[in-house]
Amino acid sequence: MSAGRLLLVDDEPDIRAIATMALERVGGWEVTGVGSAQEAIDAVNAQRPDAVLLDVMMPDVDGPATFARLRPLLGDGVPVIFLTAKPEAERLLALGAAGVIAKPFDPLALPREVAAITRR
Amino acid sequence: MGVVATREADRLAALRSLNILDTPSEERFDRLTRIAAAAFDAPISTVTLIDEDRQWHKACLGVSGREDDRAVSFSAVAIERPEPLVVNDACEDPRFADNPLVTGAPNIRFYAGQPITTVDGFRVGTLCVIDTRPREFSTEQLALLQDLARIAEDELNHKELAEALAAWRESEQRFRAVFDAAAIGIVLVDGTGRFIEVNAAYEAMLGIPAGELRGLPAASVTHPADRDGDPAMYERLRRGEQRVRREKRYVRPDGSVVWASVTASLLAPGVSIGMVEDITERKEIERIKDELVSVVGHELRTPLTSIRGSLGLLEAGVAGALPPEAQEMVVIARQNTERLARLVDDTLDLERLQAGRVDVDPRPVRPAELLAATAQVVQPVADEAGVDLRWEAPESLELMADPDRIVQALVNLVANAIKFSPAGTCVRTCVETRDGEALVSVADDGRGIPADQLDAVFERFQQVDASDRREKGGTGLGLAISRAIVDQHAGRIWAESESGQGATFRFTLPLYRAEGTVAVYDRRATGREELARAVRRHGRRVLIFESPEALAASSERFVAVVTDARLDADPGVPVLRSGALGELPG
Repeated sequence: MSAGRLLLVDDEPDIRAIATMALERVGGWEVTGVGSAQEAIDAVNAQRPDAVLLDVMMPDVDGPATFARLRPLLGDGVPVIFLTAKPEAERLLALGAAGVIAKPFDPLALPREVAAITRR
Repeated sequence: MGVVATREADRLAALRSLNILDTPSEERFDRLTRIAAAAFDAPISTVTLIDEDRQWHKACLGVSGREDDRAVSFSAVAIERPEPLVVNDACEDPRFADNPLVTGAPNIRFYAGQPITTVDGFRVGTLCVIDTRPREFSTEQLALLQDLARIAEDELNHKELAEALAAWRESEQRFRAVFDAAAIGIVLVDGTGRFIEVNAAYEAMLGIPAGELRGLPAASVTHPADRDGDPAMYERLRRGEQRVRREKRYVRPDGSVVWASVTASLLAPGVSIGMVEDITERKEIERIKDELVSVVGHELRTPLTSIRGSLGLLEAGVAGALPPEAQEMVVIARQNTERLARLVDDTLDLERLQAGRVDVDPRPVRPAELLAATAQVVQPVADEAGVDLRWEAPESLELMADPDRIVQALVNLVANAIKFSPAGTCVRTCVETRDGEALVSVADDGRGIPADQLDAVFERFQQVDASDRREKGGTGLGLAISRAIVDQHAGRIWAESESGQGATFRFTLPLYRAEGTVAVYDRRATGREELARAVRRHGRRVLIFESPEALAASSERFVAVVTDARLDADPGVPVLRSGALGELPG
């Protein structure tokens, strides 16, 4: 049973691959992995996801800036979760994020953490 | 007796050091005897020196021999006292009546001799006039004899003074040459911190001529951030430490910075000597090394995270079940990746702690909380090893610690103790007060540490037994990290052990002093935080104020106010005078 469609935005392909495998095989998500803000916008326009997992540290357009662009396209109710290596959860939640997951994450625990935040 | 003998030995040494005995006649002395003989209308006049067993005439007029036995010498008697010896008629004098020089040639009847002394005050001989008939000697004549003796004395000592001066110059030049040829800087500094003398190497290191440095306060060439250290160093010397070493920065006139290692000793009261070595290059290499460690560490972290993540997924069968042998290999790979990741984390941690780039922020904390947090981490390790953990901390105690950091140090110490504890034994952690500090001890019943390695165990990658690292699975950095953490808390850490009887690791932390709340105020937010942190490190509770007005309005009473504003220049300060203060230490 699918948990839904999840858009994963991270510029590092290895991290994308690991997270994708964990979220698909353990968490039961249908994952679309992209590496930049523009790809994320294209992906959202192609098919609206049920949740977004968004890395903060990205070149060119960073996580919060990507978030600002995606937010109007996503509409309300689609949770966006930030991935960050810094202690900045408060700031990110204030932007309107549904949750924050610390990097580096344990891939086996990741699906559980995402589920805890997105459980509607 | 002994004193007299010693004085005579000293007198003889002084005489010999004149290097005049048995030298040829010299006009400068002959001239004096001619004057004396003429002035006193006497047939004989001599400048006579008395050595161990004879009298010897440096100048003699009217006598043929240059020496006589000391036993018959009138002058030997004369030098026993500082006053002149006058013998009006030797035949009438019981001391000399049967003297062979009286009964035979040169038939002395009259003798007047004035002792002459060396610069050190030793009477080494006389200037004397002698007649073959009895005579009276007037006070005026005595005065004239003394004047002439003074001249003889000057002549005698002249040579010695000149030689001493030459020797001193030579030694001074030799010292100066060594001083200036020294490869490291040498400075002499007075008690007020001003340069007395500097050598060529120091001159070159600072790019300032020695002439300009002399008299200048050392602080004026010291980096502003390092100025406090010089008086502190001098104070330690004054309190009796033989040698004090520290690293400091100098600033050259062109603004460039020189790192130096300074080793100072007290040369005399109020004069210290400093050996100053340029360590700029070493510091630069250290900086590059630290940077390299930091960069490599961070660069290693990213791929390690990916490897660990991938292996974790494989091991959990997320990508499908693995054949048993592949599963085994994946477990080995995953475990070693984790160990490598720990090593990278510990290396980065240690580097950041040592470079002071970790904010250690002590605050009042109950030791029981620290022990509980530590227990949570190490209990599973202890269970696995079959080691019992015991904890003991008085409820009432509060100490100043950054809980996260001190727990990290405690985890390292306890985990280390567990590693070396045989199953069935226990590891005891206790906190107590001693000498106004908190003393934390972690004791085990393991094999102990040899006395010569008690200090070394705190070094990086140091293990008592070379095989330990593989067997015990540590990174070899735990104790070094613990030491760095304790250092940051202004505490001390050490190990005690009797080989074969277990080891005890101890460290100290400041106690929280509830009775002494300190007010901190600074108009700048960053300044306030820095000051507060510094004060907390000394175990005081701190209240922070943004202005003196707010401070004055507080109902608390403070033992001190710490501020880095200039009190006299701050318009808000007068309100404090009547305000909340018990006392205001300078």
